[in-house]
Amino acid sequence: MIAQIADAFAALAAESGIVNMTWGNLLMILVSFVLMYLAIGKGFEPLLLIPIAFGMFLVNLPMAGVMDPPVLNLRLLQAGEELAMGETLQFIDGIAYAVKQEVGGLLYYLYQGVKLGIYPPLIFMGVGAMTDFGPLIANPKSFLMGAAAQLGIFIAFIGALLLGFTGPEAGSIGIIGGADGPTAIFTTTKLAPHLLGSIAIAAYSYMALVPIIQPPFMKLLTTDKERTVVMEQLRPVSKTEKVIFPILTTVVVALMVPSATPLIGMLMLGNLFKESGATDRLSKTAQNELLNIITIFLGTTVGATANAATFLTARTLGIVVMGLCAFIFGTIGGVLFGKVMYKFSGGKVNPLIGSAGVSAVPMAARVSQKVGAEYDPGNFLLMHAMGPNVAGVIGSAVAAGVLISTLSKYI
Amino acid sequence: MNILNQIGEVVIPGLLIVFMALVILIFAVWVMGRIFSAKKKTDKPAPQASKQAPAPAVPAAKAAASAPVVASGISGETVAAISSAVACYMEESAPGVSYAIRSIGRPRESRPVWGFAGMQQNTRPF
Repeated sequence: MIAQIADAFAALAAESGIVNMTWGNLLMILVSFVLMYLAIGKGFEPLLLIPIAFGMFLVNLPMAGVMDPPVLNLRLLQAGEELAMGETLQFIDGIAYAVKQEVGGLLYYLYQGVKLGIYPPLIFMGVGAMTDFGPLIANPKSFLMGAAAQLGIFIAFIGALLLGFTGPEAGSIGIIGGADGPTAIFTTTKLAPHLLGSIAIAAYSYMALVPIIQPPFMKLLTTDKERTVVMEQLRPVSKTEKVIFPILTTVVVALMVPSATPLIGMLMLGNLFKESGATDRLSKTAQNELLNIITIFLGTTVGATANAATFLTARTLGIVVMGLCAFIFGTIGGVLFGKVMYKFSGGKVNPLIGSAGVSAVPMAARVSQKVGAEYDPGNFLLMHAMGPNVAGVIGSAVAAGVLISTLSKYI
Repeated sequence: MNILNQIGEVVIPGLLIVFMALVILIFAVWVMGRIFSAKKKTDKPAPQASKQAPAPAVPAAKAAASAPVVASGISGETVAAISSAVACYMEESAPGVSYAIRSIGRPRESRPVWGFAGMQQNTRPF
Protein backbone atom coordinates (compact mmCIF):
# COMPACT_ATOMS: atom_id res chain seq x y z
CA MET A 1 0.00 0.00 0.00
CA ILE A 2 2.71 2.46 1.06
CA ALA A 3 4.76 1.43 -1.93
CA GLN A 4 1.82 2.16 -4.21
CA ILE A 5 1.33 5.61 -2.69
CA ALA A 6 5.04 6.29 -3.07
CA ASP A 7 4.90 5.19 -6.72
CA ALA A 8 1.92 7.46 -7.36
CA PHE A 9 3.77 10.42 -5.84
CA ALA A 10 6.91 9.57 -7.81
CA ALA A 11 4.86 9.45 -11.04
CA LEU A 12 3.23 12.80 -10.21
CA ALA A 13 6.61 14.31 -9.36
CA ALA A 14 8.10 13.04 -12.64
CA GLU A 15 5.36 14.85 -14.55
CA SER A 16 5.48 18.03 -12.52
CA GLY A 17 6.88 21.27 -13.84
CA ILE A 18 9.38 21.61 -10.99
CA VAL A 19 11.27 18.46 -11.88
CA ASN A 20 11.25 19.23 -15.60
CA MET A 21 12.30 22.85 -15.28
CA THR A 22 15.49 23.65 -17.21
CA TRP A 23 17.83 26.61 -16.77
CA GLY A 24 16.66 27.83 -20.16
CA ASN A 25 13.02 27.82 -19.03
CA LEU A 26 13.96 29.66 -15.87
CA LEU A 27 15.86 32.31 -17.80
CA MET A 28 12.97 32.79 -20.23
CA ILE A 29 10.53 33.14 -17.33
CA LEU A 30 12.80 35.85 -15.91
CA VAL A 31 12.85 37.59 -19.32
CA SER A 32 9.05 37.47 -19.35
CA PHE A 33 9.01 39.08 -15.89
CA VAL A 34 11.31 41.85 -17.13
CA LEU A 35 8.96 42.48 -20.08
CA MET A 36 5.96 42.52 -17.72
CA TYR A 37 7.79 45.03 -15.53
CA LEU A 38 8.57 47.24 -18.54
CA ALA A 39 4.93 47.09 -19.62
CA ILE A 40 3.29 47.60 -16.22
CA GLY A 41 5.93 49.57 -14.33
CA LYS A 42 7.31 51.69 -17.15
CA GLY A 43 4.29 51.80 -19.45
CA PHE A 44 6.19 50.55 -22.55
CA GLU A 45 3.52 49.36 -25.04
CA PRO A 46 1.58 47.52 -22.29
CA LEU A 47 -1.22 46.43 -24.62
CA LEU A 48 1.27 44.37 -26.58
CA LEU A 49 4.01 43.55 -24.12
CA ILE A 50 1.72 42.11 -21.44
CA PRO A 51 0.15 39.45 -23.70
CA ILE A 52 3.54 38.72 -25.29
CA ALA A 53 5.29 38.41 -21.93
CA PHE A 54 2.53 36.25 -20.47
CA GLY A 55 2.55 33.97 -23.52
CA MET A 56 6.31 33.62 -23.06
CA PHE A 57 5.78 32.89 -19.38
CA LEU A 58 3.15 30.20 -20.06
CA VAL A 59 5.11 28.36 -22.73
CA ASN A 60 8.18 28.11 -20.53
CA LEU A 61 6.31 26.42 -17.70
CA PRO A 62 7.39 22.82 -18.28
CA MET A 63 4.78 20.14 -19.01
CA ALA A 64 1.99 22.71 -19.33
CA GLY A 65 1.84 21.98 -23.06
CA VAL A 66 0.01 25.18 -24.01
CA MET A 67 1.70 25.23 -27.43
CA ASP A 68 1.83 21.45 -28.01
CA PRO A 69 0.50 20.40 -31.41
CA PRO A 70 -2.19 17.71 -31.59
CA VAL A 71 -0.84 14.15 -31.72
CA LEU A 72 -2.31 11.31 -33.73
CA ASN A 73 -1.45 7.90 -32.29
CA LEU A 74 -1.79 5.01 -34.72
CA ARG A 75 -1.77 1.44 -33.35
CA LEU A 76 -1.84 -1.59 -35.61
CA LEU A 77 -4.89 -3.55 -34.63
CA GLN A 78 -4.34 -7.29 -34.37
CA ALA A 79 -7.06 -9.71 -35.39
CA GLY A 80 -9.63 -10.09 -32.61
CA GLU A 81 -8.18 -7.21 -30.61
CA GLU A 82 -10.62 -4.65 -29.24
CA LEU A 83 -10.36 -0.88 -29.30
CA ALA A 84 -9.26 0.83 -26.11
CA MET A 85 -11.07 3.80 -24.56
CA GLY A 86 -10.97 6.87 -26.82
CA GLU A 87 -9.71 4.99 -29.86
CA THR A 88 -11.47 4.85 -33.22
CA LEU A 89 -11.08 2.28 -35.97
CA GLN A 90 -9.60 3.42 -39.26
CA PHE A 91 -8.49 1.50 -42.32
CA ILE A 92 -5.41 2.74 -44.14
CA ASP A 93 -4.56 0.79 -47.32
CA GLY A 94 -6.83 -1.97 -46.12
CA ILE A 95 -5.02 -2.37 -42.78
CA ALA A 96 -6.95 -1.78 -39.56
CA TYR A 97 -5.54 0.80 -37.13
CA ALA A 98 -6.71 1.96 -33.74
CA VAL A 99 -6.47 5.74 -33.88
CA LYS A 100 -6.34 7.98 -30.86
CA GLN A 101 -6.11 11.72 -31.23
CA GLU A 102 -4.70 13.87 -28.47
CA VAL A 103 -5.76 17.49 -28.78
CA GLY A 104 -3.11 20.21 -28.80
CA GLY A 105 -2.62 23.05 -26.34
CA LEU A 106 -4.91 26.08 -26.29
CA LEU A 107 -2.32 28.50 -27.63
CA TYR A 108 -1.41 26.10 -30.44
CA TYR A 109 -4.88 26.54 -31.92
CA LEU A 110 -4.94 30.30 -31.39
CA TYR A 111 -1.50 30.44 -33.02
CA GLN A 112 -2.93 29.18 -36.30
CA GLY A 113 -4.23 32.71 -36.90
CA VAL A 114 -0.63 33.92 -36.82
CA LYS A 115 0.75 30.99 -38.79
CA LEU A 116 -1.78 31.38 -41.57
CA GLY A 117 -1.28 35.15 -41.74
CA ILE A 118 -4.82 35.97 -40.55
CA TYR A 119 -4.24 38.17 -37.49
CA PRO A 120 -1.79 40.77 -38.91
CA PRO A 121 -4.15 41.95 -41.71
CA LEU A 122 -7.02 42.08 -39.20
CA ILE A 123 -4.89 44.25 -36.92
CA PHE A 124 -4.17 46.43 -39.93
CA MET A 125 -7.91 46.82 -40.47
CA GLY A 126 -8.23 48.20 -36.93
CA VAL A 127 -5.22 50.47 -37.48
CA GLY A 128 -6.81 51.73 -40.72
CA ALA A 129 -10.06 52.47 -38.88
CA MET A 130 -8.10 54.60 -36.39
CA THR A 131 -5.84 56.40 -38.88
CA ASP A 132 -6.50 59.81 -40.35
CA PHE A 133 -4.75 60.00 -43.72
CA GLY A 134 -5.74 63.68 -43.99
CA PRO A 135 -2.22 65.07 -43.34
CA LEU A 136 -0.81 62.73 -46.00
CA ILE A 137 -3.47 63.72 -48.54
CA ALA A 138 -2.89 67.40 -47.76
CA ASN A 139 0.87 67.03 -48.24
CA PRO A 140 1.46 64.01 -50.51
CA LYS A 141 5.21 64.74 -50.67
CA SER A 142 5.31 63.14 -47.20
CA PHE A 143 5.16 59.81 -49.01
CA LEU A 144 8.81 60.30 -49.96
CA MET A 145 9.94 60.46 -46.34
CA GLY A 146 7.87 57.33 -45.65
CA ALA A 147 9.76 55.62 -48.47
CA ALA A 148 13.20 56.88 -47.40
CA ALA A 149 12.69 55.61 -43.86
CA GLN A 150 12.43 52.07 -45.25
CA LEU A 151 16.19 52.25 -45.85
CA GLY A 152 16.68 50.56 -42.47
CA ILE A 153 14.90 47.43 -43.72
CA PHE A 154 17.37 46.93 -46.53
CA ILE A 155 20.47 47.85 -44.50
CA ALA A 156 19.46 45.33 -41.83
CA PHE A 157 18.82 42.79 -44.59
CA ILE A 158 22.44 43.19 -45.77
CA GLY A 159 23.71 43.03 -42.17
CA ALA A 160 21.76 39.84 -41.48
CA LEU A 161 23.14 38.22 -44.65
CA LEU A 162 26.66 39.10 -43.51
CA LEU A 163 25.92 37.50 -40.11
CA GLY A 164 25.15 34.24 -41.89
CA PHE A 165 21.35 34.27 -41.99
CA THR A 166 19.70 32.91 -45.13
CA GLY A 167 17.99 35.29 -47.57
CA PRO A 168 14.43 34.68 -46.29
CA GLU A 169 15.62 34.94 -42.67
CA ALA A 170 17.48 38.17 -43.45
CA GLY A 171 14.35 39.58 -45.09
CA SER A 172 12.32 38.81 -41.97
CA ILE A 173 14.95 40.43 -39.76
CA GLY A 174 15.15 43.48 -42.03
CA ILE A 175 11.41 44.08 -41.83
CA ILE A 176 11.83 44.88 -38.11
CA GLY A 177 12.98 48.26 -39.50
CA GLY A 178 9.47 48.77 -40.85
CA ALA A 179 8.59 49.49 -37.19
CA ASP A 180 5.29 47.81 -37.72
CA GLY A 181 4.48 44.72 -35.64
CA PRO A 182 1.80 43.20 -37.88
CA THR A 183 3.94 43.72 -41.01
CA ALA A 184 6.94 42.09 -39.31
CA ILE A 185 4.83 39.14 -38.19
CA PHE A 186 3.12 38.77 -41.56
CA THR A 187 6.46 38.75 -43.42
CA THR A 188 8.11 36.38 -40.96
CA THR A 189 5.27 33.85 -41.11
CA LYS A 190 5.77 33.77 -44.88
CA LEU A 191 9.58 33.73 -44.97
CA ALA A 192 11.02 32.40 -41.70
CA PRO A 193 8.30 31.16 -39.29
CA HIS A 194 10.93 29.56 -37.02
CA LEU A 195 12.21 33.05 -36.13
CA LEU A 196 8.78 34.49 -35.37
CA GLY A 197 9.16 34.73 -31.59
CA SER A 198 12.48 36.56 -31.61
CA ILE A 199 11.53 38.87 -34.49
CA ALA A 200 8.14 39.82 -33.02
CA ILE A 201 9.61 40.50 -29.60
CA ALA A 202 12.48 42.53 -31.09
CA ALA A 203 10.04 44.52 -33.28
CA TYR A 204 7.62 45.37 -30.49
CA SER A 205 10.38 46.10 -27.98
CA TYR A 206 12.09 48.53 -30.35
CA MET A 207 8.76 50.16 -31.20
CA ALA A 208 8.30 50.81 -27.51
CA LEU A 209 11.81 52.23 -27.38
CA VAL A 210 11.36 54.65 -30.32
CA PRO A 211 11.40 57.70 -28.00
CA ILE A 212 14.83 56.59 -26.76
CA ILE A 213 16.35 55.33 -30.04
CA GLN A 214 15.39 58.14 -32.42
CA PRO A 215 16.16 61.53 -30.77
CA PRO A 216 19.99 61.24 -30.66
CA PHE A 217 20.16 60.53 -34.40
CA MET A 218 17.59 63.23 -35.19
CA LYS A 219 19.66 65.79 -33.29
CA LEU A 220 22.95 64.54 -34.70
CA LEU A 221 21.84 64.93 -38.31
CA THR A 222 20.08 68.30 -38.13
CA THR A 223 21.15 71.86 -37.40
CA ASP A 224 19.42 74.23 -34.96
CA LYS A 225 18.07 76.22 -37.91
CA GLU A 226 16.53 73.12 -39.50
CA ARG A 227 14.99 71.96 -36.24
CA THR A 228 13.17 75.25 -35.71
CA VAL A 229 11.51 75.42 -39.13
CA VAL A 230 7.83 76.23 -38.68
CA MET A 231 5.87 74.50 -41.40
CA GLU A 232 2.91 76.01 -43.23
CA GLN A 233 -0.58 75.02 -42.15
CA LEU A 234 -1.92 72.03 -44.07
CA ARG A 235 -4.81 72.58 -46.46
CA PRO A 236 -8.20 71.21 -45.39
CA VAL A 237 -9.00 67.85 -46.99
CA SER A 238 -12.54 67.15 -48.19
CA LYS A 239 -14.49 64.07 -47.19
CA THR A 240 -14.62 62.87 -50.80
CA GLU A 241 -10.83 62.90 -51.01
CA LYS A 242 -10.64 60.88 -47.79
CA VAL A 243 -13.11 58.34 -49.20
CA ILE A 244 -11.29 58.00 -52.52
CA PHE A 245 -7.82 57.73 -50.94
CA PRO A 246 -8.12 54.16 -49.52
CA ILE A 247 -9.51 52.85 -52.81
CA LEU A 248 -6.84 54.62 -54.84
CA THR A 249 -4.02 53.40 -52.61
CA THR A 250 -5.27 49.82 -52.69
CA VAL A 251 -5.42 49.87 -56.49
CA VAL A 252 -1.89 51.30 -56.87
CA VAL A 253 -0.19 49.09 -54.26
CA ALA A 254 -2.06 45.88 -55.07
CA LEU A 255 -1.28 46.21 -58.77
CA MET A 256 2.40 47.00 -58.17
CA VAL A 257 3.12 44.59 -55.31
CA PRO A 258 0.34 41.97 -55.18
CA SER A 259 1.84 40.20 -52.15
CA ALA A 260 1.24 43.34 -50.05
CA THR A 261 -2.50 43.21 -50.82
CA PRO A 262 -3.64 41.46 -47.60
CA LEU A 263 -1.97 44.15 -45.47
CA ILE A 264 -2.76 47.22 -47.56
CA GLY A 265 -6.21 45.95 -48.51
CA MET A 266 -7.29 45.48 -44.90
CA LEU A 267 -5.63 48.73 -43.78
CA MET A 268 -7.58 50.61 -46.40
CA LEU A 269 -10.81 48.71 -45.75
CA GLY A 270 -10.63 49.81 -42.11
CA ASN A 271 -9.95 53.37 -43.25
CA LEU A 272 -12.90 53.28 -45.65
CA PHE A 273 -15.13 52.15 -42.76
CA LYS A 274 -14.00 55.26 -40.90
CA GLU A 275 -14.11 57.81 -43.69
CA SER A 276 -17.25 56.69 -45.51
CA GLY A 277 -19.41 57.83 -42.59
CA ALA A 278 -21.88 55.10 -43.54
CA THR A 279 -20.37 52.26 -41.49
CA ASP A 280 -19.92 53.77 -38.10
CA ARG A 281 -20.65 50.50 -36.28
CA LEU A 282 -18.14 48.54 -38.38
CA SER A 283 -15.53 51.23 -37.87
CA LYS A 284 -16.01 51.17 -34.11
CA THR A 285 -15.87 47.37 -34.01
CA ALA A 286 -12.71 47.28 -36.15
CA GLN A 287 -10.90 49.82 -33.99
CA ASN A 288 -12.09 48.58 -30.60
CA GLU A 289 -13.47 45.10 -29.95
CA LEU A 290 -11.98 43.29 -32.95
CA LEU A 291 -8.60 44.97 -32.62
CA ASN A 292 -8.47 44.19 -28.90
CA ILE A 293 -9.44 40.55 -29.37
CA ILE A 294 -6.89 40.02 -32.14
CA THR A 295 -4.23 41.82 -30.11
CA ILE A 296 -4.78 39.39 -27.22
CA PHE A 297 -4.61 36.34 -29.50
CA LEU A 298 -1.64 37.64 -31.49
CA GLY A 299 0.36 38.89 -28.52
CA THR A 300 -0.12 35.80 -26.38
CA THR A 301 0.63 33.32 -29.14
CA VAL A 302 3.62 35.23 -30.48
CA GLY A 303 5.03 35.31 -26.95
CA ALA A 304 4.36 31.59 -26.72
CA THR A 305 6.65 30.92 -29.67
CA ALA A 306 9.58 32.10 -27.52
CA ASN A 307 10.39 28.89 -25.74
CA ALA A 308 13.86 28.40 -24.31
CA ALA A 309 14.92 25.83 -26.90
CA THR A 310 14.35 28.12 -29.88
CA PHE A 311 14.90 31.54 -28.27
CA LEU A 312 18.13 31.16 -26.33
CA THR A 313 20.51 30.99 -29.26
CA ALA A 314 23.24 33.20 -30.71
CA ARG A 315 20.91 33.85 -33.65
CA THR A 316 18.47 35.68 -31.36
CA LEU A 317 21.30 38.03 -30.40
CA GLY A 318 21.96 38.63 -34.10
CA ILE A 319 18.27 39.43 -34.63
CA VAL A 320 18.24 41.87 -31.71
CA VAL A 321 21.36 43.68 -33.00
CA MET A 322 20.14 43.82 -36.60
CA GLY A 323 16.69 44.98 -35.46
CA LEU A 324 18.29 47.92 -33.67
CA CYS A 325 20.35 48.70 -36.81
CA ALA A 326 17.15 48.62 -38.86
CA PHE A 327 15.49 51.18 -36.59
CA ILE A 328 18.55 53.44 -36.53
CA PHE A 329 19.08 53.41 -40.29
CA GLY A 330 15.34 53.87 -40.88
CA THR A 331 15.49 57.01 -38.73
CA ILE A 332 18.64 58.21 -40.52
CA GLY A 333 17.08 57.59 -43.95
CA GLY A 334 13.96 59.56 -43.03
CA VAL A 335 15.83 62.50 -41.51
CA LEU A 336 18.33 62.70 -44.39
CA PHE A 337 15.50 62.74 -46.89
CA GLY A 338 13.84 65.41 -44.75
CA LYS A 339 17.03 67.46 -45.15
CA VAL A 340 16.88 66.99 -48.92
CA MET A 341 13.30 68.23 -48.89
CA TYR A 342 14.35 71.13 -46.65
CA LYS A 343 16.90 72.21 -49.30
CA PHE A 344 14.58 71.75 -52.26
CA SER A 345 11.62 73.47 -50.61
CA GLY A 346 13.73 76.51 -49.73
CA GLY A 347 13.64 75.75 -46.00
CA LYS A 348 9.91 75.09 -45.69
CA VAL A 349 10.18 71.46 -44.53
CA ASN A 350 11.39 70.61 -41.03
CA PRO A 351 13.67 67.55 -41.42
CA LEU A 352 12.64 66.28 -37.97
CA ILE A 353 9.38 64.99 -39.44
CA GLY A 354 11.39 62.59 -41.63
CA SER A 355 12.10 60.29 -38.69
CA ALA A 356 8.36 59.66 -38.36
CA GLY A 357 8.55 57.81 -41.68
CA VAL A 358 9.59 54.63 -39.87
CA SER A 359 5.86 54.12 -39.02
CA ALA A 360 5.39 53.12 -35.34
CA VAL A 361 2.16 55.14 -35.46
CA PRO A 362 1.74 57.53 -33.68
CA MET A 363 4.79 57.21 -31.43
CA ALA A 364 7.33 58.28 -34.09
CA ALA A 365 5.24 61.36 -34.96
CA ARG A 366 5.10 62.25 -31.27
CA VAL A 367 8.89 61.98 -31.10
CA SER A 368 9.20 64.48 -34.01
CA GLN A 369 6.84 66.83 -32.16
CA LYS A 370 8.73 66.43 -28.88
CA VAL A 371 12.19 67.01 -30.36
CA GLY A 372 10.91 69.99 -32.36
CA ALA A 373 9.28 71.48 -29.25
CA GLU A 374 12.58 71.19 -27.35
CA TYR A 375 14.05 73.82 -29.69
CA ASP A 376 10.90 75.90 -30.25
CA PRO A 377 8.09 75.20 -27.76
CA GLY A 378 5.58 76.97 -30.01
CA ASN A 379 6.34 74.75 -33.01
CA PHE A 380 3.64 72.13 -33.58
CA LEU A 381 5.04 69.47 -35.88
CA LEU A 382 2.68 66.67 -34.88
CA MET A 383 0.20 67.02 -37.75
CA HIS A 384 3.01 67.46 -40.27
CA ALA A 385 4.79 64.38 -38.89
CA MET A 386 1.62 62.31 -39.18
CA GLY A 387 1.98 62.51 -42.98
CA PRO A 388 5.31 60.63 -43.19
CA ASN A 389 4.19 58.49 -40.25
CA VAL A 390 1.17 56.98 -42.03
CA ALA A 391 3.14 56.97 -45.30
CA GLY A 392 5.62 54.76 -43.45
CA VAL A 393 2.86 52.21 -42.77
CA ILE A 394 2.13 52.02 -46.49
CA GLY A 395 5.86 52.05 -47.33
CA SER A 396 6.68 49.20 -44.95
CA ALA A 397 3.77 47.13 -46.30
CA VAL A 398 5.10 47.67 -49.84
CA ALA A 399 8.63 46.73 -48.70
CA ALA A 400 7.20 43.61 -47.04
CA GLY A 401 5.47 42.68 -50.28
CA VAL A 402 8.74 43.11 -52.19
CA LEU A 403 10.64 40.94 -49.70
CA ILE A 404 7.99 38.21 -49.78
CA SER A 405 7.83 38.10 -53.55
CA THR A 406 11.60 38.14 -54.11
CA LEU A 407 12.64 35.83 -51.28
CA SER A 408 9.87 33.23 -51.01
CA LYS A 409 11.44 31.19 -53.82
CA TYR A 410 14.48 30.53 -51.58
CA ILE A 411 12.48 28.93 -48.75
CA MET B 1 23.28 32.23 -54.18
CA ASN B 2 25.96 34.53 -52.80
CA ILE B 3 25.42 37.64 -50.75
CA LEU B 4 26.09 40.09 -53.59
CA ASN B 5 23.51 38.39 -55.78
CA GLN B 6 20.91 38.63 -53.03
CA ILE B 7 21.71 42.28 -52.43
CA GLY B 8 21.39 42.93 -56.15
CA GLU B 9 18.14 41.04 -56.33
CA VAL B 10 16.48 42.42 -53.20
CA VAL B 11 17.95 45.71 -52.01
CA ILE B 12 18.14 47.81 -55.17
CA PRO B 13 14.86 46.64 -56.77
CA GLY B 14 13.23 46.72 -53.33
CA LEU B 15 14.10 50.35 -52.65
CA LEU B 16 13.21 51.31 -56.23
CA ILE B 17 9.80 49.63 -56.04
CA VAL B 18 9.02 51.22 -52.66
CA PHE B 19 9.90 54.66 -54.04
CA MET B 20 8.09 54.04 -57.33
CA ALA B 21 4.89 52.89 -55.60
CA LEU B 22 4.93 55.90 -53.31
CA VAL B 23 5.80 58.35 -56.13
CA ILE B 24 2.84 57.01 -58.12
CA LEU B 25 0.69 57.53 -55.02
CA ILE B 26 2.03 61.10 -54.66
CA PHE B 27 1.05 61.78 -58.26
CA ALA B 28 -2.38 60.17 -57.87
CA VAL B 29 -3.11 62.06 -54.63
CA TRP B 30 -1.80 65.31 -56.13
CA VAL B 31 -4.07 64.90 -59.19
CA MET B 32 -7.00 64.13 -56.89
CA GLY B 33 -6.23 67.24 -54.83
CA ARG B 34 -6.07 69.42 -57.96
CA ILE B 35 -9.37 68.06 -59.25
CA PHE B 36 -11.12 68.74 -55.97
CA SER B 37 -9.57 72.19 -55.54
CA ALA B 38 -10.70 73.10 -59.08
CA LYS B 39 -14.17 71.69 -58.38
CA LYS B 40 -14.39 73.67 -55.14
CA LYS B 41 -13.53 76.87 -56.99
CA THR B 42 -16.10 76.29 -59.73
CA ASP B 43 -18.75 75.41 -57.14
CA LYS B 44 -18.42 78.89 -55.56
CA PRO B 45 -20.61 81.66 -56.98
CA ALA B 46 -18.13 83.58 -59.17
CA PRO B 47 -19.49 87.16 -58.92
CA GLN B 48 -19.65 87.07 -55.13
CA ALA B 49 -16.07 85.80 -54.92
CA SER B 50 -14.77 88.50 -57.25
CA LYS B 51 -16.54 91.21 -55.30
CA GLN B 52 -15.14 90.16 -51.97
CA ALA B 53 -11.67 89.09 -53.02
CA PRO B 54 -10.00 92.51 -53.05
CA ALA B 55 -10.88 93.40 -49.47
CA PRO B 56 -10.62 90.42 -47.15
CA ALA B 57 -10.16 92.61 -44.10
CA VAL B 58 -13.40 94.52 -44.63
CA PRO B 59 -15.80 91.95 -43.15
CA ALA B 60 -13.74 91.78 -39.99
CA ALA B 61 -13.71 95.54 -39.76
CA LYS B 62 -17.46 95.67 -40.27
CA ALA B 63 -17.99 93.03 -37.64
CA ALA B 64 -15.86 94.98 -35.25
CA ALA B 65 -17.77 98.17 -36.02
CA SER B 66 -21.14 96.62 -35.15
CA ALA B 67 -20.42 94.75 -31.92
CA PRO B 68 -22.54 91.61 -31.35
CA VAL B 69 -25.27 91.50 -28.76
CA VAL B 70 -23.85 89.42 -25.93
CA ALA B 71 -26.04 87.66 -23.36
CA SER B 72 -25.37 88.53 -19.74
CA GLY B 73 -22.75 86.46 -17.92
CA ILE B 74 -20.57 85.83 -21.01
CA SER B 75 -17.13 87.36 -20.55
CA GLY B 76 -15.14 89.34 -23.07
CA GLU B 77 -12.61 86.50 -23.30
CA THR B 78 -15.38 84.05 -24.24
CA VAL B 79 -16.65 86.43 -26.92
CA ALA B 80 -13.09 86.73 -28.28
CA ALA B 81 -12.63 82.93 -28.27
CA ILE B 82 -15.96 82.33 -30.04
CA SER B 83 -15.21 85.05 -32.60
CA SER B 84 -11.78 83.55 -33.39
CA ALA B 85 -13.27 80.05 -33.70
CA VAL B 86 -15.91 81.35 -36.11
CA ALA B 87 -13.21 83.23 -38.06
CA CYS B 88 -11.06 80.06 -38.35
CA TYR B 89 -14.05 78.00 -39.44
CA MET B 90 -15.18 80.57 -42.01
CA GLU B 91 -11.64 80.95 -43.33
CA GLU B 92 -11.48 77.19 -43.97
CA SER B 93 -15.00 76.48 -45.17
CA ALA B 94 -15.82 79.65 -47.10
CA PRO B 95 -12.78 81.87 -47.62
CA GLY B 96 -13.60 85.39 -48.75
CA VAL B 97 -17.29 85.22 -47.83
CA SER B 98 -18.46 88.12 -45.69
CA TYR B 99 -20.13 87.42 -42.35
CA ALA B 100 -20.95 89.18 -39.12
CA ILE B 101 -21.47 87.89 -35.60
CA ARG B 102 -24.67 89.62 -34.50
CA SER B 103 -25.29 87.99 -31.18
CA ILE B 104 -23.77 85.51 -28.75
CA GLY B 105 -26.04 83.71 -26.30
CA ARG B 106 -26.63 80.39 -24.58
CA PRO B 107 -28.78 77.84 -26.39
CA ARG B 108 -31.86 76.66 -24.58
CA GLU B 109 -31.58 72.98 -23.78
CA SER B 110 -34.12 70.65 -22.30
CA ARG B 111 -31.26 68.56 -20.89
CA PRO B 112 -27.72 69.81 -20.08
CA VAL B 113 -25.03 68.53 -22.50
CA TRP B 114 -23.01 66.85 -19.76
CA GLY B 115 -26.13 65.20 -18.39
CA PHE B 116 -27.00 63.95 -21.85
CA ALA B 117 -23.45 62.59 -22.38
CA GLY B 118 -23.60 60.80 -19.03
CA MET B 119 -26.95 59.27 -19.84
CA GLN B 120 -25.68 58.09 -23.23
CA GLN B 121 -22.63 56.49 -21.65
CA ASN B 122 -24.69 54.67 -19.04
CA THR B 123 -27.30 53.38 -21.46
CA ARG B 124 -24.99 52.44 -24.36
CA PRO B 125 -24.42 48.81 -23.21
CA PHE B 126 -28.18 48.16 -23.32
